[in-house]
Amino acid sequence: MSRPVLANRPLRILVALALLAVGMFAAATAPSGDDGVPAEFLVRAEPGEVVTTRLLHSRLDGAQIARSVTTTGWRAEQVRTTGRWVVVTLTLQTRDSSEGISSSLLVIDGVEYSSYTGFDGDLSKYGEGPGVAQRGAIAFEVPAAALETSGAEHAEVRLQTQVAPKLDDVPVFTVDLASASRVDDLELPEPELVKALAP
Amino acid sequence: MRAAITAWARRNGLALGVLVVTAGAMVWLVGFEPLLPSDSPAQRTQRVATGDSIEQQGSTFEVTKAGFFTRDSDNAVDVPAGYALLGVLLPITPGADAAAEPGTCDIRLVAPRVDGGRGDRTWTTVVNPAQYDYGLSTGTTTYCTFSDDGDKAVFEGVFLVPDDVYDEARVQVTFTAPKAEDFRQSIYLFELPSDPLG
Repeated sequence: MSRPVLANRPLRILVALALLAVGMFAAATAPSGDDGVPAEFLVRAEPGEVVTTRLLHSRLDGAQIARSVTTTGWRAEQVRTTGRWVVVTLTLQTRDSSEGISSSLLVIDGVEYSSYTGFDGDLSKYGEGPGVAQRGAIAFEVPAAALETSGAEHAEVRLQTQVAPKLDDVPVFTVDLASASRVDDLELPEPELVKALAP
Repeated sequence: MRAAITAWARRNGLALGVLVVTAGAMVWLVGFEPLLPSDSPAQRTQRVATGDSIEQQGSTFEVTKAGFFTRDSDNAVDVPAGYALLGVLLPITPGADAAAEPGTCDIRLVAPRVDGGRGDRTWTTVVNPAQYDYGLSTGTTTYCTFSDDGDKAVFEGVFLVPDDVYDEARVQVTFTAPKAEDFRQSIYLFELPSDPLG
C-alpha cells in the first residue's frame, strides 16, 4: 500500500512553511487605504470644457481674485478678507437628483483650501434637479502669498459633493490664478438658469 | 489505500462538513444575495393609473390636475427655453377612519434616466414658484400633511424640469409608517393626466 504524499513529515513542514510565506507575502503587499486604492478619480479639464462625472455635468467659466466680495439680495453685505478671495464662476447641471458642491476645494501647491459657504446666493448650495443647468459662483478665501507662488499658475478647482469622496469621480479644473484678473471688490453673481450642458 | 481514505474521512469529516457549509454560505452572501430584488416588504412601490386614488392611513389621495408651463405657453412662466414648470394638484381627503395622529408624506417627481440606466431622475418641489411667475392656486398647500380633522386639503407641487419629461414623469408619494411598524415605507407612483393645462 502506498503512503499518502503528505504523510512525509519533512514534506508537510515544507508545505506549511511555503503556505506561511505566501500568506505573509500577500499580507505585506495587499493594498491599503494609504495607497490611494479607495481614493477619488480625478477627471481633469481646462476652463470652458464640459466635464461629465457620475453626478454632475460641469464647466468652469472663469476665475477672478478680489480683496472683498459683495453679495446681492435682501441680505446684501460686503465681506473683506486679510487674504484674497478667489471667485470661480461655474455652470452646473446634476444628472440624477439635487446635489451640493459645498465640499469643493481649491488646491495650490498641494495645499487644499475649502470653499467658503457663508455667502447667500453662491452656487455651493446648488439645488436644482437633473437636466436643469445653473450658472453662478463659489468662493475660496486664501492667503495673498499663496497667489504669488509658482503653483498659482496651475491651481486646481475640485468640485466635490462629499467631504472625502471615495471610489467616485471628481471634476478637476486647472486654472491659472497668476494671470487671473484682480479687482478690489467683486459682486457675487446670483445663480441663473442657463441652457442645459447635456440632455 | 481504501482503508487509509476511510480513516482520513472519519478523522476529518466534521471539519470538512463545516468547511463546505461555511464556503457555501460565503458564496451565497457575496455572490448571489446582493443580486436579489431590493424591493423588499419594507419598501413597496405601487403604480397608480390616471384618475385612480389610493387610501393611506385613512385618507384618500389622488392626482386630479396637472399643468405644464413653458415660456411659450398660454399661461407663460419666466424660465429659459428648454425648461418648464410642472404643477400637480393632489387633493387629500380624510375618511371616517383617518388616523388621529397627523401624518405627512414626501412628494417628488421622478422620470427614467436619460441614459436608460437603473434608477430614476428625481426632482423636489420648487420652494418659491413665484420667482418664475408661477402663481399657486388659491387654497392649496405646499406641504403634504393630513389628519382626522375632517378638512380636505389640496397639495400643490411645482417642479422645475426640462421641457421634454412630461410624458414619462410620475408623481412619487412616499408614506413612512410609525416606529411600531419599523418605519416601513409605502411608495406610490401616480401617472399624470394626458392633457395638462398649459
